[in-house]
Parts: sequence; structure tokens; C-alpha cells
Amino acid sequence: MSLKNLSIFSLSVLLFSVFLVIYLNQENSKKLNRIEQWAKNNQIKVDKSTKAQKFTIDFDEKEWNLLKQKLSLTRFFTSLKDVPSFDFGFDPDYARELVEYWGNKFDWKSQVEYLNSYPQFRISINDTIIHYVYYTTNPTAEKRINILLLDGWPGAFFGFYKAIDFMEKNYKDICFEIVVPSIPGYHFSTPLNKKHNPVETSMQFDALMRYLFGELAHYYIHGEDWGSIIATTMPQLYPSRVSGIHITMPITSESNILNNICSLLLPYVPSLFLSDQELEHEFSSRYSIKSKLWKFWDEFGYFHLQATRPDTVGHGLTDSPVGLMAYILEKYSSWTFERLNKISGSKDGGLEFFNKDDLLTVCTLYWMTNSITSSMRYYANSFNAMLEFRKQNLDFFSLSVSQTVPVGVQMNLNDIFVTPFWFIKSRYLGLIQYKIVEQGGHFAAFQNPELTVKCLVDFITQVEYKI
Amino acid sequence: MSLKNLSIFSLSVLLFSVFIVIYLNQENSKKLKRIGQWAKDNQIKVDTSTKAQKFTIDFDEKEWNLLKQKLSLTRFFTSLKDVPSFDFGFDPDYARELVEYWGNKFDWKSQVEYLNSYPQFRISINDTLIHYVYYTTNPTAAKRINILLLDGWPGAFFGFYKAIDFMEKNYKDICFDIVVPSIPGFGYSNPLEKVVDPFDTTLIFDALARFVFGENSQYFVHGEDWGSLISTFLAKLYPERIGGIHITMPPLTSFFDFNSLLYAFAGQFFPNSILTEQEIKFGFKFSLSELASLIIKKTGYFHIQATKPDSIGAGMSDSPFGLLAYVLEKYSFGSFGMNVVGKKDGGLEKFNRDDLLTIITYYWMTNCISSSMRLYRNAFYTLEKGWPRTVLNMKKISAKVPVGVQVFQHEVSFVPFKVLKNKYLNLSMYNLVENGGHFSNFENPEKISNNFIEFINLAL
Repeated sequence: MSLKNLSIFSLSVLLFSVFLVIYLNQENSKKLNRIEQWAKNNQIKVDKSTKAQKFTIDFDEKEWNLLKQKLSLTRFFTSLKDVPSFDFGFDPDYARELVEYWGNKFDWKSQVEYLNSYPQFRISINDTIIHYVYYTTNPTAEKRINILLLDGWPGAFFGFYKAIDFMEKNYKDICFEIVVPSIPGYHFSTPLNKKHNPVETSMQFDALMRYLFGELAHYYIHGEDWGSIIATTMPQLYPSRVSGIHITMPITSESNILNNICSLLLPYVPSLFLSDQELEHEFSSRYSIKSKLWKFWDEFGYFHLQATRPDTVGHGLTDSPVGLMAYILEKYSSWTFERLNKISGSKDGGLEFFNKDDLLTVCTLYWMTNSITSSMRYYANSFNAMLEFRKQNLDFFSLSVSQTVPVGVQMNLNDIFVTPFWFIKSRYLGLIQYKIVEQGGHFAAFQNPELTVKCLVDFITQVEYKI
Repeated sequence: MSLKNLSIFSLSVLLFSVFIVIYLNQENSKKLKRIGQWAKDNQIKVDTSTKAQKFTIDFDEKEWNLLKQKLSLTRFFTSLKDVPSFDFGFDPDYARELVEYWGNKFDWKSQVEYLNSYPQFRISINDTLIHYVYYTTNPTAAKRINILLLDGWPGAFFGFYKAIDFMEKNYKDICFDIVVPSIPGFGYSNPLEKVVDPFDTTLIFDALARFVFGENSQYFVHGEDWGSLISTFLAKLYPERIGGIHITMPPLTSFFDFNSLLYAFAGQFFPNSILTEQEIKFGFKFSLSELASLIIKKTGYFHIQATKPDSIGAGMSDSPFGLLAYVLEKYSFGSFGMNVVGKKDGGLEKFNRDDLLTIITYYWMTNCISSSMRLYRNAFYTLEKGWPRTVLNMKKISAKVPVGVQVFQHEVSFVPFKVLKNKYLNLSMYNLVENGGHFSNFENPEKISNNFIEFINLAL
């Protein structure tokens, strides 16, 4: 090809790419406007008739005795002798050890007192019961920040208690108005007998904030797991109300063509997309398509099952304490330690790192509220909803988050997946903070309350003082 | 391009393609020879020191009472009001109904007598405990045929009892020497504390066949579910001894080759080009989107069992209610397809309730649900050992071994005739059957018996 032809060709490719980027951005903006309009039209009314009830957790002696009875009747099975422990899932020998502790030493009554150490409420929004903790730190401080702390599956609201305590003690000049709701279907946000998806959760949590802080309230959101997804959806719906979002699990939409192309290129020209720090931490191999697919295969069996047949697996987990425990705690193991190779061959899957009572409190909470199945149904509901919304041209789950909403990301290296800054920025346009946490796992606030709070407050401070 | 250049180009492409096909076929034959040699060298020795013990199932009163106690303590949960029954899996209201029957009306003692109605044995092969049924029908008949009946997950050996009875009564001129083994880790082929995958199982089952039928005796194999895969392995490893294999679920591993992918691609846009008329009439589809749908919607259980069986095993081993829902969901969707959505009973009232509960109680009493689910993980775990397990990828079975395929309308996965022809070089029978599902021995004992015997007669 002649030089002239080559130049014309290259120029046209360049122009086309520029056109494509501008076009996609315009489409994105148009769609975001649609969503914002839809959100206004469908906003949940919060008025004088809406009332929250104070809520205290009962120590239900009858249920506790039933739990202990079932534990005493547990039927176990044997581990395989020729594979390292935890290679086939939760090790049955360690399960036996935990069950013995749970039934004979674990003090649920004390744990209930601990759970009640922060004030809780229940409210009905859109015919859906929502349980939440509402606590104000340092009420006399001048600076007031409203904040939502959101976790996911298989988390629990009290996982934030240590973080709240740290926020109170270490930021005496800030009055944090903290709200920790439980997703409908989880724990005390029950019973839930109808479908429910993250968009509805987002709307209800926003209604809750307006109920507590007024119609024009602004608020920050810290979100982990499903909380990250809800934290991503809320600013799409209410960009004027969300002051900023701080998330540990950014979702970079795979339906973004440019992102996909770059993912393919990444292993070959990593330095084009990754910072030195990310290169050092093997992001190029961990974010490669091959690596992600393998990880998805290895770790997402539960996800696949819950997103298609949650009720089938729900029977065993509702009726068997050890079943519930093994299924849930395996996540606390593989989502906190997998990368550190602390699991394969280890007697406890790394779980001795956590406080045993804390872990069993998570399990007992799911047990006592009989909410494991409704918590798993969230997955199936979300996928069905995603398809429905797409049909209505409301692509929540693949649209970006507007530039006007500041975003902070806490990237925990021992989490299941990592996402490089460059790819996060392509969806979270207002990304202003990105911190890599070397010792961090999936359950950020539960495992590392102080570090998580520091990241979060650093982010909030950055946003507050830039304005 | 000039006409001359174009002709030379086309001719060379054609020659190259022909070369590729011949080369691949040669490679395939070489691999088959290699695998045949490997199979001979690694054959499990069966000698006079190998002994089988007669085996009878006990009615374990203590375990039965524990089961009833657990059932009486069952904790239930509520169904969602705004989704159809069975849309999210096994319906908790129907499970409750079954649990009440199970704990109060089901007579396990009588069922144990029924399970003992055919002679059973246990034998240790390669340090692995194998339970099997061994029965001879019409011993005085002149024609003798050795057969192996193989089931899968979540099946049970006694699923074949009705078929055995049918064969005895309706084929009085044939003496069938029938062996029904249980896969290691299933039922009474326990305890199992090491990794045994489908490939290991194949070698063990062949050793069992040689023990029972004699060192060089020929035998025929009928295989369902995992049994279909094991049958295919047997045909690849021991073509001289396998008279023929009759399968209901041709392994979908044939999908993972280029050839099948091409068919799936063609099936996406020109479905009629890759399916026979009968397959079209039955509503079968083979396309990229169909395969994607299968993988996404139907294989959640497969995914978790193939990666973390112990995490889910804990609950199923401890809760009869959990075991019932998890296993019977397969009998529901597997037998009737997605049609069960909206049905209060998931279609299960079509079956005899005692039959279904016997299967569940059998899994419960042998405490084998975890070890049975591990088979899925084992299959992937050992793949890294490479050859000869990579025989999974081999496309063709020697033309020496006849293959009969009988697919029921609601079978879980489907591979079209045109794709199978490429893999099973001696596909002597291909039948589609209306009104049947995955658990053929359980649901259609007569149809599979008749088809199997017809297949055998054709092969002989």
C-alpha cells in the first residue's frame, strides 16, 4: 500500500475510533438521564405515616435449645485422605471441631447482648421490612456526615460494629450519622415472601435515608459485596443526593466493548494499562481473561447454584446447622486467604485468624432469623431483574457512574478478583481515590475495621474539602 | 488473481484439507493403539486370591430412628408467593408434604426386603470396595450374554430391578448374566477415602467383569448418566472384550472439539441442516445459544459439585430434608424438563412415592451423598495427570465396537445424530423415545430393556 493510502486508512481508523468513543459516551449519558428520570418518577414516598419501630434482638431460648439439639445430632462424613484439606470445600474434620464448640462452648446469650449494643430499628418501606442500625458518633462535633454502610452475602450488619467504634474514637471532630441496613431477606429484614432485586433495594435504602435525614439529604455510601453493587446503582438513580461512594468490589461492566478489547490486550502490553504498584502485585495475570475464567470456575459454583436454584440448596442449609456453617464459613476462608495459599492443606482453612465467636455469630444470626434461603434468592432475583430491566432499556448494571459522583476504591489483594485502576475509571468516571490493601480480603470491615475506616474517611475528607 | 493462480490456490487448499483429515485420522488410530496398549499393560489383575463376600442390606433400626427423629425436628421455610412453584428449585411446601409422609408412613423395613431381592456382593479391587448385584436370568437357556448395567448420579443400583425382572420374564430364551456395580463412593461401595475418578472406575469395573464373567469373556454394557461416560471409556480401552455399548446420554465432552462447535454454530443459524427430521419433531436443539442456556440454567449443581462438594455435602449429610430436596429436584427436572415449573409437585406424583423415598433413604442410610458428589470434583481433579485421562478428548471410538444410543425426550443434554456419527464409528442404533427423561431405568425399565436387547442381537 502506498504511503498516501496508508495515511488515509490510519486517519479514518482514528476518526472512527474517536467517533465511536463520543457516540458511546453520548449513549451512556442519554441512558443515565433516562434512569435518573425513571428514578424520579418511581421515587418511594416517605411521609408522616411512615414509622420506624425500635428493635431489640431477643435471646430466644427455645430456638437456641433446638439449635443445640440439632447440633448434638449432627451426622458427619469423612475427609479424603489423599487430598489436602479444604481442596474439596469445607473440611469435614474442622467442621466437626467447630460444631462441638458451637454446641458446647459458644455463648449466644452474650453475643445477643453484643449485637444489641448499637440501637436498631425496623421500618416498612414499600411493604418491605427493613431492619437497620442507626447510630450517631460524637453528636456535638460540628462536621456532620450521613453515611450508609452496606455489606452483602454472606455478611451481617454487626460486621461493621468494630468499624463504627473506631470511627467514633478516632474522628472526634466528625459527627457520623451511620445507618447500617440489612438487605431485604437478610437477617432481621425478614420475612420477605416476594421477589426483590438490587434496584429495589437501592430505592428503599434511599427512602430510608430521606426518612431519617429529610428529603434533601445528602449521604455517602460504603459498600462491600452486594453493597458495592447497590452503592453503584444508587448514584445512577440519585446523582444529586449521593455525595460519594466508597467500594471494595467495583464491577467493570463486561458488556463495555472497549473494556473487553483492552482486557484482551492487557497480558501483552501490561505497562500500558497498569501502574507500577499494580504490576508488582501481578494484576496483569490476575486480571487476564484466562485467569478470571479459571477463578470463576473454581470459586463461583455457589453463585451459579444460588442464581438458578436457591430453594434446592436452601432446604439443607435451613434445616442443618453444620450445613449452614460449612457453606458460609467456606467463603470466610477462601475469600480472605486463598491467594496467600493459606488454605490448601491447612487444618482450619485460615479461619483461626478470625475470632471464633464472631464467625459463629454470623452463622447463628442466619440460623436464628431463618434467612439463609431468602438471602440466596437475592442472586436469582437479581439476574431475572437484570434481564427485565435490559428489555426496558434501563441498563443499570452496565452503565457507568456519572463523573459528578466521587468514587473511592479499596482494592483488597486477597479478595477473589482484583480490578486495575484504569478499568475501574472507565466505568466509575469520578474515581478519585484508589488504595491497594495488601493484607485485605473480601470482608473488608469485618477483617480490617481500622484500615477500612481509614480508607473510607480519607476518601470522604478528600471529597469534603475539595468542594 | 488470474484464473490459473486461483486454480492452483484452490487445489492446494483442497489437498491440504485432505492431508489434514488423513493426518488426524491416523493420529486418532495411533492414539487408540496407544490407549489399547496402555490398557493391556495397566489392566488390574484379578486372580484366585480375589474374593467376593456375599452382602445383605441390614435394616438398621437405630439409624432409622435417628432419621425419624431428625425428620420430626425439620426446620422449614416459606415459598415465594410471586414466583411459580419450582421456579427457584425444589418447592419447600411440597418438600414439607414429603417429609411428613417419610417420617410417618414410609415403611423402610419393607423396602430393605425389596432391595435384598437380588443377590449382592462386595469385593475389594485396587483397594477400593465395590458393591454389586450379580444375577443370572433363565440359567438353563442356551444363549448366554454377559451384561453390565451402569447408573449414575443421583441414581441407585436397584433402579435396574424392574428392568432385570422384565428381562427375565420376557426373554426366556436368553440367559443374561447381569452385574450391576455401584460406582466407588456411591451407596454400599463405601467407605471411600481416596480420590477415585470415572476413569479409575472404568478400570475397576472391567476387572469386576473379568472376575465374574472370566478373563477373556465378552460383555455388553448399558450405561446411563455417568454410566454413559464409563461405557464410552470401556469401549475405548477394551474394544476386543466389549461386545457393544448402549447409552442414554452420549457424553457432552464431544462438544469440546472443533467439529462439534462447528455443528453448534451451524445449528444456531440453520438448525434443520444439522438435525434429523425426527430430532426436529422431538423439539431437540443443538446450537450455541442452547448450549449456553444449558450451561447457565441447568448446571449449577454440577458446578458446585465439581469444585466444592464438601461445602455442600455437610448439609446434605446432616439434614434428611436437605438431601430429599437436593436429590429429588433432579428427578423432577431431569424427568420432565422445564415443564415442571408451575407444578406444585414438580411432576413427581407421576412416580411411586415409596420408590422415590427409597432412593433418598438409601443415600441417607449409606451416608454417601458427599462421597457421591465428590465424583464430579474427582473427574476434574485428576485431569491434570494428563494422558491417558485425556482420552476424554479423543474423538472417535474404534469401529470394532458397536454403539447403540437411546435418547429420551426430556434427557438433560442432547448431541445430534450427525455429531455422534463422527465419534462413534460403528453407530448401529439410534432411537429417540417419547415421554421419558433422564432416569431411564427408573421410569422406563421395559423400553430400555427391549432396546438394549435389540441392540445386542444386532451386534451379535
